[in-house]
Amino acid sequence: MDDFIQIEGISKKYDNKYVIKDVSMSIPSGRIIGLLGDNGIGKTTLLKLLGNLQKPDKGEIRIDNTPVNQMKAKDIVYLLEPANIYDWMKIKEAIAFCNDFQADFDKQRALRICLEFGLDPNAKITRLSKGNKEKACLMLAFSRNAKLYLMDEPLGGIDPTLKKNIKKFILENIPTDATIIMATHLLKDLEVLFDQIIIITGAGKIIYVDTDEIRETRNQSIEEYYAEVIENAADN
Amino acid sequence: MLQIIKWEFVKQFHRLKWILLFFAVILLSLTLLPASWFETENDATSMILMFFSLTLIFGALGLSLYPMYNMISDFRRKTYTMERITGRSHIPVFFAKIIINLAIFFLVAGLVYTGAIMMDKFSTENMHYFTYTLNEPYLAIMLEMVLLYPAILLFCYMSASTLPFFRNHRTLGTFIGLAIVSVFASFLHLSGPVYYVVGLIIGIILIIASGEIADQRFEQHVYNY
Amino acid sequence: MDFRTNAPIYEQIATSIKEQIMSGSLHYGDKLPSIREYSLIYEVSALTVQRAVQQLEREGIIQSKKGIGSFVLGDCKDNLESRMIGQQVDEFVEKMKKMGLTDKFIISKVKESLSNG
Repeated sequence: MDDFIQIEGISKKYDNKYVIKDVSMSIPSGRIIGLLGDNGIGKTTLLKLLGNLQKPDKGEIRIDNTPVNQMKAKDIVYLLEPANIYDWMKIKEAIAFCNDFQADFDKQRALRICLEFGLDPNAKITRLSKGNKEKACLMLAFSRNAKLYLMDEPLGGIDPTLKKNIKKFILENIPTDATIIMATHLLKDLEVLFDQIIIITGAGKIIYVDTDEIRETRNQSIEEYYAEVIENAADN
Repeated sequence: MLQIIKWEFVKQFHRLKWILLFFAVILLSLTLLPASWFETENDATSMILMFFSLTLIFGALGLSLYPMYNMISDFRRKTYTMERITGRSHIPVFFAKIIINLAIFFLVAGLVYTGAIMMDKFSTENMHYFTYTLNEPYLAIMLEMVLLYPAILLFCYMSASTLPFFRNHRTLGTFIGLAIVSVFASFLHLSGPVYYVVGLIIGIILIIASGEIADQRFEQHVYNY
Repeated sequence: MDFRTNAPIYEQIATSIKEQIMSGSLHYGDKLPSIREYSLIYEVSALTVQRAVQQLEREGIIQSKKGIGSFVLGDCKDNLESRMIGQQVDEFVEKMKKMGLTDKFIISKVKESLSNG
């Protein structure tokens, strides 16, 4: 559907500064979307607003025609950071917790992904390396069958072998009609995966475009296009 | 709901396990220490017994206050995100915490009671190192510690977190609410069936109201995530 | 497959499939892998694969039957060959002409290359 996510006039302020101002957009279903922008510019804020972890000061977000704050998080997956997990939790306990409270959680898939990633379910998550901690978080997110996946810089500490396989991993483990919105700096590795990109340029302005359309009309890679957009924004 | 209660127990166990172990050791030590060692009153024996006494006092006090902290501690941590994305309503979680508070109440009662018995064997004609006197009946203490004061604190915190002025000064808002409560608490020593029923109802209403606010409007302070 | 990132990905996938038909890996009547299968093979989104398939349909190279799948159309191999080669030759000739070379010279150079080949 064309308006799977409806963002209407949302604004969000922190410390009296607008991070997102009067933004409206319509995001169709079944898209893999890259969320780009400088650090601290509002990518995390947008993801948290979509995931109902933060509330907009003004405006409304609807997903599948339901206001986000009434959604009970059933159809939304928000990728956790390692710090979000209780430090006494072992991987199998985190799996049990998610399995108990998330109806679409697939425990078999979770264990299969653990095997694939080389994660020991009996290991305490805090004792893992940075890369393995993030793999554990990815495992929890992709053991679900949801409509919307929100990911904030998911590949920071991941080792190069996984980075190479991450596209395949994502494609294998999400429903075909799911929408993914992923904040990332790894355009070189991931731009081929994105159907569309959202660029937050600063002062609350947002650009939302089709990737292949950019490539077709401008003969630029998304990496090049993004660099140009940021440079223009800096000049203005 | 059973699963919510189960996970609350697991969480609290991990949070309190070292404290519980510590007091288990203290009580064990008191059991094992022979009274004969302390028959002569001198600086050393006084200090040791004072140490035990103070430990028991502060332990009981701290654990009595823990139920209040229990209600709001999740909101101030990064682990709140993990709880939030499960999409559960806050109301059953709050009631699960009340059940935990009840368990803690019995722990405190056990600690105080056992501690008093243990310390009693060291008491002489002049010194009683650790006893307890209750100003109010058990039921009143239980109601206040398990439900009423935690519910009031929770409601203050929720209100402070969602009202525009206090949103960035939640501690202040919560503190003001708490101060009001403390003033009431220190002047009123209520008891009796009417108090228990009214207190129960007020506690439940505050919990449900707090849960509704949390579900609809609560968001973590930006410094907490 | 490694993609050029400054040209539409869906076009590159369509080209890749056309090359498979030309080289004989895919024959007339063959059923193409599903969209999801292609998405995993090429490591791109399902939408991108869908666009590639739609392009191939528009060019008459495949036909999609709803609920069943997409199939390689019959005469398209020769069709494809002449079309794709034709495009390459046109580009080559244009380039040579821009350099100011005569038709006769171009033809003789091509003959030379073929006989050395």
